[in-house]
Amino acid sequence: MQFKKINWSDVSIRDFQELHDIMNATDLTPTGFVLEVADLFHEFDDDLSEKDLKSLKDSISFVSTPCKPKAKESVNGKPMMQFSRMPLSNFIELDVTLVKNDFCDALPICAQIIYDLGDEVFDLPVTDVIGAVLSFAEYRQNVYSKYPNVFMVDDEDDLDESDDMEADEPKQDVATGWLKIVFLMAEGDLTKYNEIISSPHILVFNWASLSDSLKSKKASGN
Amino acid sequence: MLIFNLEGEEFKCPTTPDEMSLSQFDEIIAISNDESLGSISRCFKMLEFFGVPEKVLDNLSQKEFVEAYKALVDYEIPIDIEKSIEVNGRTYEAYNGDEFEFNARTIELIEIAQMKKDNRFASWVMAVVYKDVDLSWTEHKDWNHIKHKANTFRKELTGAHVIPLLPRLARRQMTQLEDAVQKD
Repeated sequence: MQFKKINWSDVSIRDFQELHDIMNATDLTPTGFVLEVADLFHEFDDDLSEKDLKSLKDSISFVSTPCKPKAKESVNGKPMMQFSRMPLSNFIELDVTLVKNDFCDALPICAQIIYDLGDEVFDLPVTDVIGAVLSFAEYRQNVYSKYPNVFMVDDEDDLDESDDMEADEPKQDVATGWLKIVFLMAEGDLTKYNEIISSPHILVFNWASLSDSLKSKKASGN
Repeated sequence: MLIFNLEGEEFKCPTTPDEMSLSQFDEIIAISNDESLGSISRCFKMLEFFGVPEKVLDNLSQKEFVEAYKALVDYEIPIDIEKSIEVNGRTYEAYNGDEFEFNARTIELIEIAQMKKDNRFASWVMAVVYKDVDLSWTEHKDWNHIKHKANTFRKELTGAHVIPLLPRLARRQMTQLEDAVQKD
């Protein structure tokens, strides 16, 4: 029996999540691992011969090779979101998803936002999805470095507070951090919340950055 | 079989796998694999395990020791894997066709047995390889069933039954190693 050789591009997000669980399982023997992984892609009987086992093992040799992600401009007819034009709400959602989730769990959620898709993302090739998510991660990193004053959330008061905190006290999470930025931009006015988060994120960051610079200048008396 | 005499009393010591129960053979394998012991200590430990009194071992001449050592390590290995065995009225088969072959799930079960490191490897191998002809494959691979079978085999079978399987397992592991080296 000859089993078709599987490549990373044949692996869907659903397969990838299962693969992730199999790779983290501590009770699998080497052959158990091969059978579990191969079961995601092939149909075979329990009495598979030793020779067929070898072919099965060869068919999943991709697991020991690096995955080469490649972002696609569009999938299932849906174009990839233009990151520079995304509203703040999407930027926050993607950022929070990446920070708060295991990478493997974050992939489909991010892909749903990036391509505006539903559950069909679970059938997309993992190479496409990782490519898209990495593109966003790179973009996000550029944004962070472009607006250092906006993302320096902790002011002196906060630092003092954190010094007083017990070691086991939970730190401020990323979602609260975002809420704080939006709160500052809205100057505490709840009615402005929706308006701000639906604005282009670049506009909001420019505004926040300018506001911060003006504050600093005012504080220094210049 | 070695026979030792001490003050008119006879002590019998099995030396070949067919004279040992599978349970005893498991112990002998464990002693053979004990890397903390030298070959002479291993031989003494095997004789002790079979109940040869310390007084006999202390007074063993060099010639007698060499004879015991040879008997314990030098025996004829049966080559053919028995197609079927009968234990307590039940029939167990190692293979269906003309030739014995480990199938994928059997290999996985043997690997699980290997991971147990509980000095019962020979019993596990027998229980995994020999399938009750009246049971389905799903029942066969149930670990509780395998455990029960291993316990039965330990009492009812001798080490000779498992001997032909061991070189096959070693050859399989060798092939795996060669494959791994080639890939590197």
